[in-house]
Amino acid sequence: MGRTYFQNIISGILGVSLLSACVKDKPTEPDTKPPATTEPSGNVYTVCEGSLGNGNSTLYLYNYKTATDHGNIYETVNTGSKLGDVFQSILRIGDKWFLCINNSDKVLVLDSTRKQIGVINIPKPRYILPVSDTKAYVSTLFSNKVYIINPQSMSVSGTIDMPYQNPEFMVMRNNKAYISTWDTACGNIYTIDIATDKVQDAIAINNRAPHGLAVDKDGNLWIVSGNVYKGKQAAITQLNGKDEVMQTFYFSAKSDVIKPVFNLAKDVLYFIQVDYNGGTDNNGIYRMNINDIQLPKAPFVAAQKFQYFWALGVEPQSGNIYVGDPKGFIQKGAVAVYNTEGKQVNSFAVGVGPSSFYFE
Amino acid sequence: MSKPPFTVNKRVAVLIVLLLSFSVSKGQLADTLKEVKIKAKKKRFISNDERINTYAPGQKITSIDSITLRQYQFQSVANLLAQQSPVFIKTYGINGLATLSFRGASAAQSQVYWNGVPLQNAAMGMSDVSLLPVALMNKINLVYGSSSAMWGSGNVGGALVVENEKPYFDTTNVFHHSIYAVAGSFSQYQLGLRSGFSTDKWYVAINGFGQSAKNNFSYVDGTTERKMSNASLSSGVGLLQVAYKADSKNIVSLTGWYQQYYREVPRALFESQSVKNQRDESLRLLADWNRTGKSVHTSVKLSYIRDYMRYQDTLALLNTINASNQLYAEVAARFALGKRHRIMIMTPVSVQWVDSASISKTNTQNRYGIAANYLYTDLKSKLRVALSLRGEAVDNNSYLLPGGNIGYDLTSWLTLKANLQKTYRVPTLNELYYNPGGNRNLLPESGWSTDAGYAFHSRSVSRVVLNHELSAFNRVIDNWIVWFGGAIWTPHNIATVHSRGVETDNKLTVGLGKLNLHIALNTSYVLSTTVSSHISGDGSIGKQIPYAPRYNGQVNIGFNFRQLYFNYNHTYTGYRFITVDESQWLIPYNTGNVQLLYTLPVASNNLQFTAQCNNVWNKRYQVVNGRPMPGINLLLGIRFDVDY
Repeated sequence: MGRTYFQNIISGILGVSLLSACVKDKPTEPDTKPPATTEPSGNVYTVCEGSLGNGNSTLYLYNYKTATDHGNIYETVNTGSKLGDVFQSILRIGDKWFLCINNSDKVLVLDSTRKQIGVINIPKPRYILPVSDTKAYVSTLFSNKVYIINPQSMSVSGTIDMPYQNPEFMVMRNNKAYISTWDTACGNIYTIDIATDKVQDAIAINNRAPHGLAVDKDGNLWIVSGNVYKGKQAAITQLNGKDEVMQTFYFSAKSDVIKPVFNLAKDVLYFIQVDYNGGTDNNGIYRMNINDIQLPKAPFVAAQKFQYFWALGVEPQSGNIYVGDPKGFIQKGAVAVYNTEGKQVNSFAVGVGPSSFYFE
Repeated sequence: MSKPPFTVNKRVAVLIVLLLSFSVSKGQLADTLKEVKIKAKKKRFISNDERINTYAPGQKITSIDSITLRQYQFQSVANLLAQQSPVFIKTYGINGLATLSFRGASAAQSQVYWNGVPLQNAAMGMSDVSLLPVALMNKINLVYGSSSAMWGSGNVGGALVVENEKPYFDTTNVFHHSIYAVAGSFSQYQLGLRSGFSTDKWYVAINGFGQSAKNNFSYVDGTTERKMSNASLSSGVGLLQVAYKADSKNIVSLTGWYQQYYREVPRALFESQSVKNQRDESLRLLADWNRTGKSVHTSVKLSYIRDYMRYQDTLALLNTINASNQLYAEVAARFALGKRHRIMIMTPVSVQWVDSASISKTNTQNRYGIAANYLYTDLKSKLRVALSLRGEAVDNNSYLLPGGNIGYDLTSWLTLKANLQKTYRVPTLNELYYNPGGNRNLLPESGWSTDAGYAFHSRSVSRVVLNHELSAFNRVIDNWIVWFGGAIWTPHNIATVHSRGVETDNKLTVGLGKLNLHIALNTSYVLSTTVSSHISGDGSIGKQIPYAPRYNGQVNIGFNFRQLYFNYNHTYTGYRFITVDESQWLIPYNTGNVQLLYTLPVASNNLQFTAQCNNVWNKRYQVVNGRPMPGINLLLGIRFDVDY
């Protein structure tokens, strides 16, 4: 065997092995950045919570009047800064935006252009309830504390100790703050005297683990409760203005009910039922009239197999229903828009794990 | 907060290093490095396992040579493989979980075997290779591609096979002792001892070490440089091997391996702080009986493995305790029919259960298998054909797994290889029963895997030796299991995933008298994309699966001169996607690493100095999103070997 033959073989096999790659490794970046300048109205902000432990939460912005997609608006405006891990909720108070980043233990404060101007350090923040120009409550996970913040100074001014852990959703009614504590041992919701910041009343709700609240056109409070995986059946309880239980609707044992929201007239309650196992029973968007005497049997929007919805909102102009599909929280999510007849009229892409909407 | 199980006192470590340093006598040089190079050039000696030695002539198998084992003897298998193999090690930062990914397979599809026994956690179906110390291992082999018919469930992408020293018996009564001390950056300290003796009837060896580290390295968070906190580690590891040679035919051995790691889990970049900590305790027991008959070799293995893990995070009110258990038994017989035919029959049986608040004890997984392996060798030993068939029952389901591989020596320097296997992985106990989220309706992942290639070995008598191996593979797996969810994570059979790619191993050595130069290049190109999915509007179709870099490679360049060995290692890892639709990713990283070994004979004993400098270019990088890796760091060790 000649030396040349030997060398040719070596050159050939090295060439084949080193040049065998054929797919470009660098991912494709979007060709153009979405516009950072936004319209004064018609904006819907999609809170994309990301997937726990990946720090990939985002804030997406879409204008439903002009059908303009502004994409990942926080990163666009803040030159690539990341929000953090598990973006739980967003709220506008005056000219500032407050973003609860749950697993990053912070509330980010943005100015009206969505530029970050402050950080309030609060462990595991969930939701914010504005009480006055200088006071708001922040609920927290894994503790019994509600933090009191001053939105003007962007600082913590005190805390409220709740009787149970996991204070969750909060609403104002009759000049009182109503707070749900998502604890499987808890069968009450609590009112807070907003003048003294003290727990005022405990109201039994005929079920455990309250977590979702919404107020209808008559001023009645609708409370979603339960924790299916901890053996607490889901239920919706209706409280009248005197804090008396009007009725309680119990769901089947496997139904998980979340994120109640009213339509524009506040006479139809929409909520999500979730089947985490990918089944289609008790899985989708449901709605019921406030005068109904039983729970809806058929979904308003049915979830497909291996699908469940995680965000629900009502557009203030048309009353259209916005539904967020997280697609497993392992990729970018999608938002579908339905009219009140249940016909899909629009859709747009958002970040990982769309979990709620804020309409401006 | 729980206390660390073991802490190496800094002063003691320094004292031992100094004492050993002063014991060096000058001028007694000998060329001992050659003794620790590749122990056996014949393939049948690269493992104690016949499945590797005999029944895989067409599979790509990479054996970590003994000098590489010595370079990394004070580190984990995770570090070794990350720098020296194309297997992707998914490391969740310092003190974090590190799992294997062979050829674009998931961690649960890339298995680990210890002396032939499956080592993966029974609940999770994967192994944390950061908890596998190189110091305990005598042989480490990487078996690429599927071979479920031989190895069973989970052997989809490949297997890591680690082995302790095989007991040996010596009529001259051999005693061997080693003591070593290590100190390094970030307050790393390690003290170890290995002692053993061998007679014509008995073999007894103990091997243990303790280590501690603060791991308080600097990292950049945005534009701010910070010191890592809540990152300390302490561990104690012990291995006892006892073997008795009853007569010329029968050997009974017992191996006990216990280790405890206490690790603080530092904050990820997106967390404000961390008080997390994790304690891992593992007990691994193995009884082995080998009978070498005139024509039939019989072996019986009986093993119990318990992996206990406690994870605490007071900020999230978490204090979870899980203990997974595995009983494994295997009877094997192998024999030859003439010179051309060899047969091996195995009956592996395992029972797995978990002690945990999240999984009921009644949820067990029982596997019963029978596997037959056959090897045909032609008269000139050029052609070797191995066929395997495994029948396996897992709880109420049964599976038939055929496979075969061929090796053919086209010339004395070129071997062709091919491998075709039916492959599968049954869902783990967590995937089936974990509460919340377990899915009892999961089906096994299954599919076909093929690979083919060639190995080129130039003549070793020459001063210039070139080894080159190329392997191309193709694998399609149906019912790929994906965990998804927000509040509740649930596994589903979602997708069909197609993996294909090319790997090359290349090594050139040049002998110039007492100076030996080497340069080696490993490359890996893996496309592992989703073909179909049951999710409505799934954006993953045609996209690379998460944490499966398309490209990675390593270069090793160095020399040995007399007792000195030097190696520079450079690794490249390409883009890793965080999401299945390629919408989020991590940028590639390069690291440079230097290893130095110097062996000084002292009378009939050896004093060995080692130095490793990892990440010499001080690159800032993350293997997994949000978990910064250490910058430049140093590890110095001294080891004294006594034989008599």
